Amino acid sequence: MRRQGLVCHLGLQRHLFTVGRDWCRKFIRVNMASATRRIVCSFRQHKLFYLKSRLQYNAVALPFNLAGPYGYVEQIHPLATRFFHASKTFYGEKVPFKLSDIGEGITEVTVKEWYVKEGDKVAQFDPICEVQSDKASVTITSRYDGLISKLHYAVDEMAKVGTPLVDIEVSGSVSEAPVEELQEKDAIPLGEREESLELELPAEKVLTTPSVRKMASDLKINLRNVQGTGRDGRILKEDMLRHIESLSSSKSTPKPSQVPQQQAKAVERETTSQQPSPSTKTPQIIRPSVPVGVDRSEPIKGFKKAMAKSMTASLRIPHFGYCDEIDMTSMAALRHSLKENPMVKERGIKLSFMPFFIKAASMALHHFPVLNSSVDEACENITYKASHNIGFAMDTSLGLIVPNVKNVQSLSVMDVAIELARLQELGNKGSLGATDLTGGTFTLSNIGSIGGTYAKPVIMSPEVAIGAIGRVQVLPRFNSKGEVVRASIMQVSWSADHRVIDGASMARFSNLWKVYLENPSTMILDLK
Amino acid sequence: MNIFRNSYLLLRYHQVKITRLGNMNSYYPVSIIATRSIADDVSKKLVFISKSTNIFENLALEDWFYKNFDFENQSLLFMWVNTPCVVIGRHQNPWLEVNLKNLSQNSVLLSRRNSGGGTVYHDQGNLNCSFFTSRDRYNRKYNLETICGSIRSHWNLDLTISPREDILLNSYKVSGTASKLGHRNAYHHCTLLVDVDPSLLHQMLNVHELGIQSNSTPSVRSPTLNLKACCPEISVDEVIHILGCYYIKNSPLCFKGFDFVTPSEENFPGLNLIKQSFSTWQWIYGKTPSFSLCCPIGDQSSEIKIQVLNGKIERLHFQDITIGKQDALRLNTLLVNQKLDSELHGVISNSSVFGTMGEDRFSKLNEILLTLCLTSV
Repeated sequence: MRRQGLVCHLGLQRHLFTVGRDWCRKFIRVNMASATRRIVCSFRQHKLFYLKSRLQYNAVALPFNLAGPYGYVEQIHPLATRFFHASKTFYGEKVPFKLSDIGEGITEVTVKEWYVKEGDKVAQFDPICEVQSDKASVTITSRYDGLISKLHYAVDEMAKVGTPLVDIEVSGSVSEAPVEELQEKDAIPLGEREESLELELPAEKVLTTPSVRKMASDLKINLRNVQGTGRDGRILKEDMLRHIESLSSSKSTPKPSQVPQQQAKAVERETTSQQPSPSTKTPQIIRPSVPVGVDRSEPIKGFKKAMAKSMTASLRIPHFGYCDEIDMTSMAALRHSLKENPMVKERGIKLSFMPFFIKAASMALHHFPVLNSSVDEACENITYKASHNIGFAMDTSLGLIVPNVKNVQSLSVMDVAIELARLQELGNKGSLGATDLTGGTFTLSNIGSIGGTYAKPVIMSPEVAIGAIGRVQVLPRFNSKGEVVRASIMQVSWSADHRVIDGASMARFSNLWKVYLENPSTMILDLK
Repeated sequence: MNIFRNSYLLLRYHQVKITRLGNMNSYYPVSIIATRSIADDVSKKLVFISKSTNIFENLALEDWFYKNFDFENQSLLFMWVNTPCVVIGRHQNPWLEVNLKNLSQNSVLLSRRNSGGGTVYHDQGNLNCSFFTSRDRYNRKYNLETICGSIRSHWNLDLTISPREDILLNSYKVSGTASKLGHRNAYHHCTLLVDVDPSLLHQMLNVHELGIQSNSTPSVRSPTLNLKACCPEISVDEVIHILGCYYIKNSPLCFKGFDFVTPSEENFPGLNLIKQSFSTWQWIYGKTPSFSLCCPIGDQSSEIKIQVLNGKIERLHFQDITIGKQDALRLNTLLVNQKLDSELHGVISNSSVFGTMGEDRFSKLNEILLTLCLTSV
């Protein structure tokens, strides 16, 4: 092979080196692995080569693995001795990276693929290799930044859990991790979850931060006497301050303690330290020992959180309201008579108004299917739902839930009543299933059972309409003859999604529903 | 009334909403997802169902979720169904596992997944479920229990879990499982044979012995059974619905139903790249661990050992040489460093090399090489 020139970077300058045949051959083989042609790589491990450039620079080509990812050719001062230190630990400390426990009681895995090779630089969390155990394929990521110095297993060899997988030369030292830089991120490399970086410190050293050390040296306190409450017995600033206080109190001289920032404990200590020293000059304020109410805060969880989230979603819908009054006199009479009816008694179901409301709503929805529809979030498609799954709001001890009765269009009033009773029972126990709580297409909220007349209900996304039924009140009304009669009046307040429903549809639906309820015999006409 | 009853039954199982994930500009759509699902104390449970039946799109989407989703506070059940295809494990050898000739004859696709395990045959009667969680919540047994529990609760099928973590029905295998663990996320996916064509399944996975020696993960063959054989009213759609409901049954109210997802570039930026990488010859065949096979020459004991690395013929060893140097050279130039693909198939068929060397001696070699080159991408 003829002599070839190698281009290397020497600091910022490029120099052409001529190298001998032997070196050249090796260079080419090694250099093919590196992505750039810019750097000269070494010849053999752990040996240094002295190259003379045309420009008479004295340079050293550092061995590949000692010099970093692409070996650097560095100019050396003739007197510089550190480059001639050819020991293996030049770059950093060699740390064996053990194969950590994969779980599931697995003790041996097969190394299937290596993503790195000896001499590669790795960063923390870079994938190193792929191992397989039975059916699980696990990607092992690096724990350290550094250079791969040795791979302990070849492809298809069985690696034992707990044995070293690779040796990594870590840049900088591992054993003393600076306290402030410890980050407990969730993406901790495989297996090292429980243990943090093992700190193998000599027995004399006390764990603490530099600022605390300074404080101790200023105040001439021996750190060994201070009790540390941080992780691994670290002495925190609070511990230091507490120690100072205890010293001062033992010396019985009031010493103003420094006011530390940001810690709740510190705030308490601040208040205690700011108490006036026992002195007879200032009059003492007598504080009565009556317990004062305190603010209590708790996180929003469970049902409340669900409600908060769904309400936030719902209020993106442009609502419009429509309210009306319904004369419930005939309905009340009907219900009263049905309660005495032997058929109802024999079925053992308590007939309230709600089954009638729900069934009437379903019958009216036949004529106004747009109210039983659903729009997607971008409001691009409207789906007219075929089944009338009418939800009703239930107030339980845990909060507001809205189960729905499925397919009311094919149920009779009695069926609806039975279903309602079942859902109410489940709701009171708190064991409603997902199918009962989802798939609703229309909602009725009987807030009137608790109280109120008019309301402004919030539509439950992805539905498009909701009704709030007020309380039945007995009020004076004029009848057709112009006489004042007592009537059971109930208010209803509808809210609908104004993007797809117009006022007229809502009004007509409400009128139809009103007709069904004011004159229950009309429900027979539209019976299916 | 009866009409309504039937439609009730139909609707009950199709009461799922069609939603789009919206235009996502970032790789971390967690904020969009977060407004849909309700958190309980442990993790949000999401259910996605793929609208695509293309194996590459679904594998790419699975990989996308694995790489781009944050499962710190949520878990995902992703269900997908494919048109007929065969999926081999990450470190498997397709020549060892799959009958490539039948594959191309029946236009069944071949693909390689990212997780380990064995070879499976998919078609429209097979349901794939991928359970995504964070690394520390990874629990294969729990996922399999979920599947068994959901099916047991709805149909009268007694499913059990074998020690190898397969789901068995009357000691026949109905599900295969595999998983992938990374340092942050992990997923466990499994198949479920609901109504798969058994004849095609056997045809695809029935390989003639070629004498391949390899360190690739072997498949452990077991007799299989369809769930439909024991329970005629079961179907893949029903299983999807039941399993999805069961999966999220612990998470409370107001969940909006399952999400149908379309694996497309605008929904999942970067998906096309992953899909392409899964469909290349380089991934499907080129990722095969190195293997070798011996082929006898003529009637004597001489053999040619073909070593294949990364799907390419790396070397030919001539053992017990009674092959002339010229012949050896010809074979080497023809075959070495060639990818085992249809191009090489054409080259070998049209080449006169075998003719000049003595056809009867090298007929077996010819045959084997042609079989090896039946790869189709």
